[in-house]
Amino acid sequence: MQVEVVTSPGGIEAWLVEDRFVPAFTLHYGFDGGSAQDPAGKSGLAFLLGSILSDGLKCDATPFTEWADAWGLRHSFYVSKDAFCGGLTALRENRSEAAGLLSGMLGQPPLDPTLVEIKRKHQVAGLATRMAKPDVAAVTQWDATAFPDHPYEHPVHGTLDALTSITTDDLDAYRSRIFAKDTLKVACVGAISAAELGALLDDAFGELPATASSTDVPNVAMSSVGTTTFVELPVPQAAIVFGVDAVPRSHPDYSATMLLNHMLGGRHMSSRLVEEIRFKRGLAFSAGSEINVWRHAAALRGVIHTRSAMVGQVLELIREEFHRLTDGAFSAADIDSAKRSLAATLALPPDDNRGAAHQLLSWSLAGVGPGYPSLRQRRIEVLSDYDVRRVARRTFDPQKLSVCIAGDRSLRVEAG
Amino acid sequence: MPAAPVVEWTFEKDVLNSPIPVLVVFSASWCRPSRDMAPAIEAVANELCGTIKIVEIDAERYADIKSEYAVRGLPTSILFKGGQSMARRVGAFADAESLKEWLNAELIKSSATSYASELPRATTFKLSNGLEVAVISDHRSPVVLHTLWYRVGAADEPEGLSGVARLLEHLMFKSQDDLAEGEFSKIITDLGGVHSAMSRRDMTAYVERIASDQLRPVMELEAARMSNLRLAPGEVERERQTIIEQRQSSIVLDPIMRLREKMDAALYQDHPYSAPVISKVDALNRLSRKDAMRFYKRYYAPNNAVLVVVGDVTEEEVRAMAESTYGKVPPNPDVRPRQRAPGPEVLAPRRVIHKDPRASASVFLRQYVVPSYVTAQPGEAEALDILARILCIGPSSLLQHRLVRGVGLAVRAWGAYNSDVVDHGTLVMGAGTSQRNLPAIEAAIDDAIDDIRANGLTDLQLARAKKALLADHIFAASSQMALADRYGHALANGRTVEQIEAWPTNIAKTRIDDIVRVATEYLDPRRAVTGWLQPG
Repeated sequence: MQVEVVTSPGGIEAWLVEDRFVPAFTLHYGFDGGSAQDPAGKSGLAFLLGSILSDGLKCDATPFTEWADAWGLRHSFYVSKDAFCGGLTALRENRSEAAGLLSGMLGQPPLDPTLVEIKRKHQVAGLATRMAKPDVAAVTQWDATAFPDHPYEHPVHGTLDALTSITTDDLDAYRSRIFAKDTLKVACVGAISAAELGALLDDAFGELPATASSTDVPNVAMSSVGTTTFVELPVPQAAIVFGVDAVPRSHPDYSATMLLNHMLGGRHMSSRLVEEIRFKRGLAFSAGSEINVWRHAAALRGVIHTRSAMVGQVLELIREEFHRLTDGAFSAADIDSAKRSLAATLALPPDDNRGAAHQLLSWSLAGVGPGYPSLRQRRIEVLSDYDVRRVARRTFDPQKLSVCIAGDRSLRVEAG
Repeated sequence: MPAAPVVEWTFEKDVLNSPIPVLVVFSASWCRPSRDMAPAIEAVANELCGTIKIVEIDAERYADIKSEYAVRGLPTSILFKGGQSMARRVGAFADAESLKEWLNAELIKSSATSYASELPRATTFKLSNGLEVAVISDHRSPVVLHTLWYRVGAADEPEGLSGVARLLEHLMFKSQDDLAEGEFSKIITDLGGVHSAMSRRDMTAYVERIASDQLRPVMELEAARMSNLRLAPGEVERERQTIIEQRQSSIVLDPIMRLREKMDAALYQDHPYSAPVISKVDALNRLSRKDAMRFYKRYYAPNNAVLVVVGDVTEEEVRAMAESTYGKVPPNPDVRPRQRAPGPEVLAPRRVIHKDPRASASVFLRQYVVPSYVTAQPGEAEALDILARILCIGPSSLLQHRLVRGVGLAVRAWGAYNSDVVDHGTLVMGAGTSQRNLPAIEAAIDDAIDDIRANGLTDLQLARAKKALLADHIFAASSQMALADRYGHALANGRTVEQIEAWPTNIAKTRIDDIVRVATEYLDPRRAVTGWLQPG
């Protein structure tokens, strides 16, 4: 996958992988912002704005979603803690329609108050459904405990009170602060040339204001180290979210953390957690962990579903596996084979254009260059046993685990 | 913005090189129909604001353009896109509405069909032991996706063995003659690959994705476990617990899945599709190691499987590797074509009401038994695909208009046509609401269906649905997994590569009459089950 950095005639930059396997392309774009820029007491605003803009009206009164559908365009907004993003897929021939859709939605069309109310209602209804799921409830609680008094404590989907208080003026203020060329990042994969992409970029984003005015967000460390919290839900199967503080991508210890995570709970069926929790004991269908890297914090986290009666045993097994890592209960050969397998797994490209564009955008937003994959491979290759063991001791101390359990009343005791 | 007058020397710049489509109307001031059409042209030019340009050409004055484009009658409208004339219409449009509809339909129709011819294609061959193989070369990156599809699923489970297909899928990662439990996964992971498995009603599939130079060891492993499964004591028990956990999180905790399970049972009655793919806990608890092994020996064989390889390989490479790996596994003479019980009888509308304390809102579901791509008469399944799109899929569907947008009866509406199955397919519609208005939603859905039956569809609806279907078909082809899925499902169900690859052409050929006919015949309440999910 050869990444070309393209600059449009109007000066907008994008990463491009030109590929003609299918006569279509996918473009992902994002602005710095996300839910971390939701104003105080108005969490869920960015997410709500995305759903309103999708269904907003074009100047001929056709909803954007419907117009896009007629042209075979697929577009959706997605909001993370750090960025407000969109992804668009179109046939090669529909470049001008694609640009028209983006410039229309992002070009500050007036917000229809009725639509705002409808979308608010939908999001409120969605909240109830989401929070009834033990994994969502536990992750939400985990964030709130880990990052109190920081924008990261709030869920991207918002809370009932916050959603109710959002006004049309708040929404307007957010988009005029956040949608701007200076923080815009774009990644595109598929059947489109550099010149065609350049024209599309100018048509789609050329009218945006030059500079954003976002609020400063400070870096934050987890304040929930060593705690266990509990959310009561009437469900027969609980969700356990566990995590520890981790280092950001730019930190020299990041690759050792990736390697250790690969051994502990990486996305494969021979990790320690899968071995101990699923294969040996049949306690859960899936067991894993991953490194969540946000702009201002990082954590190594996992989610495991198990029946209420087994929560205690699963927690014990997680702690044991953390202990094994800090104890250095793995051989030099284990490290070597993990290095080879991790490097090879990371070298597998995303399965489709959408996945590839999404991955490139996330790197671009994170501030790493298009050469990141080979840099990452080299860093894994040169890891020394000493560093792996040192990082294991520092990161995987079971005393530092922050755990949140969502499940039935009987689990209150487990949570202590 | 009135239609722009054009002078001859700007024809190339303003029409042929225009970045947006251009409608050129050849007219003359002495021509009454031309004059009558002027207000419609102006109205549409205003309304389509920037997405299309409309120019009028005085056919008398610019006779050479007129003759170049063989314009005979007046007015004649020609639609240009990218310098090419893509549609024409002789004669006036009655009003702005009919002009706009024609324009939209032609614009949308334009070229998605011809793009489909650029899609990747498969080549196929068969080994002497009966294994069917399809290869799709994709040289974008040095990666290969290896997928093996067995023609067996939950609908093939014998009486009393509900759940054995899924259990066996899990047990395939346990001990074999030469491999201990977990070693299969460990070898794939050490080689830098990822793997997964899935089981459905009619098939069970095993998937590995890996660097293309590691294809041979993957094939060796997959071919070996076609006949080497052994299963050590205790392995069945632990894996059974894992599936029970999976059932808890994916079905028991999901009120809509609970409702769907009940609806399937009511709809299919004696047909094996009534059985859940992840069976109930008591059924799972009855299964033994012996049951799993018997099922394995009966169905896991090269003459009951399809191999689909997508990626950085050629047909010759795959053939050579397949012959030296899978080719060594003997066929099972007991494999016979499926003999399923006939489909559910078309008798009476069925209804299921499920109250669930975990439901936070009400949901309406309707599921019709309709032909699948396997059972349909030629053209019927394509018509159903388009009908489903118009009726219930995507942001422009009739359900969006009649339930959600600007109406507020429902918060969301969705649908699907489950077409790639061995027996009958289903057309499913759903709507979620935060009010207590399921009867009103049901009435609105029935009205929408009656409307199609009584009044047909417009060209614009048809063009939009075709464009959306073809676009999604093309988009999905950038995914190796989606390609493997497309070919693997269809081939395992007994369809051919020719049938799969003719799909875009068949969609393009489908007419409004065909769609109204399938709507009338198959969206019959006696073929359907209606489900209501209510909180409480």
